[in-house]
Amino acid sequence: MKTVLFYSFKGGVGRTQTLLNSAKYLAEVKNKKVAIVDFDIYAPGVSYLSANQKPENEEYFLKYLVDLFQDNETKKIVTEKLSDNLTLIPAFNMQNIKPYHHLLTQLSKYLFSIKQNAHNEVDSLSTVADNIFEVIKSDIENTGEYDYIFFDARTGLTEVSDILFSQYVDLKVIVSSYNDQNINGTNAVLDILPEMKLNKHKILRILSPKPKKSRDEFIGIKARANLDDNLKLRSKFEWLGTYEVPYEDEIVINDFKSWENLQDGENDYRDKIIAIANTIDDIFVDTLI
Amino acid sequence: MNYQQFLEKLLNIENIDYAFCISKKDKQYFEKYNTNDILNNLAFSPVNYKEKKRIFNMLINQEIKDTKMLNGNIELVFERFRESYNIKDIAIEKYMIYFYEWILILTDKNITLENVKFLKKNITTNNYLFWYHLVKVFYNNSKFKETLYLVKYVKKEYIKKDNYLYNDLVLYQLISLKNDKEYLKDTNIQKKICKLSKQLKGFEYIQILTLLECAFLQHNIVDFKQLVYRYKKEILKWNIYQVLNVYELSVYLQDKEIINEISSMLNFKDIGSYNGSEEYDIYQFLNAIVQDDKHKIQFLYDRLRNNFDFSHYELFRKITINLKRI
Repeated sequence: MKTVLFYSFKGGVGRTQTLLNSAKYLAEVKNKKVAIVDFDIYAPGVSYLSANQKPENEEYFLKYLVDLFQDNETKKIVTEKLSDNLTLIPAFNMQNIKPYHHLLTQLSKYLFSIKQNAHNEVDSLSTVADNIFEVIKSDIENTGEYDYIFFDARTGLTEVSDILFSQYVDLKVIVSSYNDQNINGTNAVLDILPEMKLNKHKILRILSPKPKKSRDEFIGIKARANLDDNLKLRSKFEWLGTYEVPYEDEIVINDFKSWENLQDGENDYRDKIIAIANTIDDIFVDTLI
Repeated sequence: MNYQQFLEKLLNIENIDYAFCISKKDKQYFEKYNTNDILNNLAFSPVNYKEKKRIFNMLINQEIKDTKMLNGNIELVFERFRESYNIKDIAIEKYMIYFYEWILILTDKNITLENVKFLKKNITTNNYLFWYHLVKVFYNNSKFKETLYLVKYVKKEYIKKDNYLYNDLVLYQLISLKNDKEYLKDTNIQKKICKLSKQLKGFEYIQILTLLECAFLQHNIVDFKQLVYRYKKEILKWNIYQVLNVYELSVYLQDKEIINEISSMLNFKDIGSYNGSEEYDIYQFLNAIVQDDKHKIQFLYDRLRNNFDFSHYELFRKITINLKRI
């Protein structure tokens, strides 16, 4: 079972869309069992895909986090099957925003402490963030059998990103769009990530959505996103390259259905997502002859 | 799909064999095993380094009896790769990593310029994406001499100024030239670097810092000042380490006005808050040079020895010692 973080420094860059469609491809075409975790707890998106809302007092992911940090006994996290191979772990029952808001307030009591201590060492090899992540991962694993757990993280430099930039997250897919604030902001995040002791961060970078027309200001943008001009920073990571995902009229934010209408080999967007999903899969599968 | 069909479709390469990057003499060593077909298929297969090397060792040690089955399996790998990556530029970019890794295997991780010369001689294709990603894979692996050799050839033959990838080649060339500190002594390389930095688009930090460095190497204080004032807005957006690189050059130029200018930029970026960090040590080291505090210079030099590039400082020391002699 491998864990994959989908992160973006800023929002609206197609992070969740990339996650959803690559998860869908891996589940439907490659027969992989994928769990999608909505860790974008302040602005849940994929949670809205949930059809069967359970009562608020159930152990939704957000409630689980509160229980975990409060040192309460945690229960089995709420999951929901989206299809045979796809499982959703929603942040909360988003039909009822009041208890959700209440839980966020409760959680915020612990966030300062997480933020402050995330990078502190608990032993010579791992940090507080590593330990928190290991517990969360193990509790998600207890909900079912998965080949992959995809985490949709919240944007910015937050306690969530501190946890999910743990060295135990097997792959980090970092999405940014075609402008300087996105590229520079994301590069700055990479710059401040501490060098890992056990595992170098595996990084796959995505630029999305690529505008249809090229302009002078885009010259060199892929190379800058790929850190071609900063080999010292890139050497801190196991760098897996940069993919550009093109703009696609039919794809709207967090739409899970329009993917079906796009045909392989005829649609640039779909083919790029397939390449991304296969790259993720190839990283973890040794090509045994 | 075998290696020939795969290479022809993806890269328009025909008539190539596994030994494309080594001499005929070295090839003879492998030929005695008489496994050319399977070696060709293995060499060009999109299979990871570890696995490819393992099978390669088994082949040359004649430990695989059923090569027919192995060939069949490799052909499936070629097909799977084509299905997974049906966008040509992504497929080529990904594939070139495997291509490079075969050179690593064949040379026992000791790639030299000679290998690249053999490669250039033995590969014929007009596919500019192949040549671009070939340069890139050498650059990504910090093989700078080989990168420079390839860029020169690729710029001449396949990727001209009107190609959207030309600018990336300029970047790889510039950084590769700067990696070898020889340029600090060689004015011809300096000229090349300065010319390339003027051509470069979209890499503001590298471009401005190199232009400043050119003015510094020519000891042209007027140009240096003009550049600092012209790009002040841009420099203020850089991170502290990048601004310190400009401060370093201004300190070695020993011009009070410009030292004060960059110093105020560092204060604007709250250099004091970095106290206790490597960046602050660099700042203090440079201040010690301004104040000519020899004891502090030596102390911080020793402390930064493993983390800071002192090549500009060594050049500065050499120049000041020579000046004192005069």
